[in-house]
Amino acid sequence: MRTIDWVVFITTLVLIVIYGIWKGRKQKSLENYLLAGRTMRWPTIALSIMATQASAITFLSTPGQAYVDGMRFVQFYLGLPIAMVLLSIVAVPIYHRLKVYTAYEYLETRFGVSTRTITATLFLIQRGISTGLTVYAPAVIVSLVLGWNIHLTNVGIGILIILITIRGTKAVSHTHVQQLLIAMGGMLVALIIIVRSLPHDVSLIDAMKVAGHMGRLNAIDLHFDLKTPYNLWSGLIGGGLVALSYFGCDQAQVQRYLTGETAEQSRLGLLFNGMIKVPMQFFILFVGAMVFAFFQFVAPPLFFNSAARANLGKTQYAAQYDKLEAMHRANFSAKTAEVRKMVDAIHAGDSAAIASATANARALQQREESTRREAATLIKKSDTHSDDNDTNYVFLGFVVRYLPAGVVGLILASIFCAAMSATASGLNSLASTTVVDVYRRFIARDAHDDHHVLASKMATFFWGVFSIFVGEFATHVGSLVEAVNRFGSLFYGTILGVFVLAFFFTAVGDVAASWGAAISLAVVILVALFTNIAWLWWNAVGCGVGVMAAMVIQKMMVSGQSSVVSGQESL
Amino acid sequence: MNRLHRLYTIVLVELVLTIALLYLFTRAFA
Repeated sequence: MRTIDWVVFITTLVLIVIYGIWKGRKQKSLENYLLAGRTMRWPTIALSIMATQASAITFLSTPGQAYVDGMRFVQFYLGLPIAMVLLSIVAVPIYHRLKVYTAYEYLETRFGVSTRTITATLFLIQRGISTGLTVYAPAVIVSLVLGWNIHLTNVGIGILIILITIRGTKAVSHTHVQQLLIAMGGMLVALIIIVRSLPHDVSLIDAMKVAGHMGRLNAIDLHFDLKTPYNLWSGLIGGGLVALSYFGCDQAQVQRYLTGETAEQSRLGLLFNGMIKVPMQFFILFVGAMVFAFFQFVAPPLFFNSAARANLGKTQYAAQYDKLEAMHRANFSAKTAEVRKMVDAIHAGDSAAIASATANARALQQREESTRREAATLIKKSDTHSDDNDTNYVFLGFVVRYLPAGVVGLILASIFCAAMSATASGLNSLASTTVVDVYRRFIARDAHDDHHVLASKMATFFWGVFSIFVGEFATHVGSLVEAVNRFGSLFYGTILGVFVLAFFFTAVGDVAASWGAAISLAVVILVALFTNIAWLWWNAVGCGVGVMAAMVIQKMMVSGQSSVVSGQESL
Repeated sequence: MNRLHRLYTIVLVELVLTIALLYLFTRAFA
């Protein structure tokens, strides 16, 4: 990093932290501290919701995903707008009418204390671990690419987040706005520079055509397949259920719209998110597709994770890697010649020549991908702790190598902003659930508001330190990123099932709902362990099994009770 | 139709249009 990068990076982060600390002053009551006094308007709610979902991994990994696999990941978000409408109709009015602090507080009024406690506990486990990973994952990637100390980076991000989050929800929501704008601004600047860095005779449309012919603009796949994670149907159904669960039952998101001054403001925030989310993810993936187009004319490294590459150079596998690199270079020369022919054919409008160049370039691309897989295997062999998943390193590797001074600092600030925004909501919601659903419910029921504000600050600090520790003990980032999604999907379906019962099945009571949740969790764990059903579908399984099991148990309990009653009557 | 119902309709219509546009985008650049 050059001096100007450091200036941009540090100034951005310091200004955001100061702004958050200033916005979080005078938070005397628990309602003010945890729900910003329920005074938020819809633009802040909407941006806060979006900033919560957009973690650093969104900005690091999503462009890499488009580079490696194309844009089909965008389909994961297609169910989200439907979920926003359903939640606006069903959940928002209930949460506002009951004036709850957490989503789980509602479950006690609907079912009873055991369902509330089980669901809140599942949330604390899942969110506690995943918040740690949302700090650690970007820390490890940034530190590897820039050669920073991983522990200092992890602790540094953690401290910045604690500084803002401990000032309460108002500070979190207001800094979310700045963080999201900076993160998206950084991506826009990156896109403009990528397009300007293309060869002079290659326009944006040419680059899009090249990326499309090479299979990177595959936004919609109509083919239904339970084993592929991203197609239109898994996105609408599986992605929709994930969104319902995440926005309706996950306190990290529910807390964002509980801050609305009226139910209408909360609804508008959710609906705006529903309108913007798909285009926003499309844009981030498109940046990745354009990085791919750029690397059709400029040779990409065989492996983007430069630290892993450097480590391998010191081992017995160095010679084998050099051989792969030579193959990669030769393959690239042949491929770029075909891509050049493709561009000339596009300019000439010669469809036969386009088809022929595309077929050749695609074959060479497959060879490149197979060489990259061999390189990843060598990287793993050379050091079992190294990260062999290169997807997360593509975008940052490109930024550091090809973007001008100042912009690198801006992109890094964007990534840190995204890490801070997602994690701040995590800590904020963990503190609320710990204090409202556990401490205030079971330990200090009659304590004064001041006491609970202090308890919330201590809980925020505790979960912040816990997140830093999770990062310090985590090792493999590649598998961790996937693990965050998979691990969350173990719980999301179950939690969603409990809320579906609460909202739509009024006959089901506390005992049946608790057992339904336990059975659903067990079934999802079995499905995850013993079948190869893609993780997006676990949410549907968890929700469906939980609802059905609770209904069957409720029916058995009712018929058991009525037989006892009729038995007593016959005595 | 009140204001909220209009908003719900707009969000869902936008989703259908987005899917249609994404499909056309995929086809146009495939």
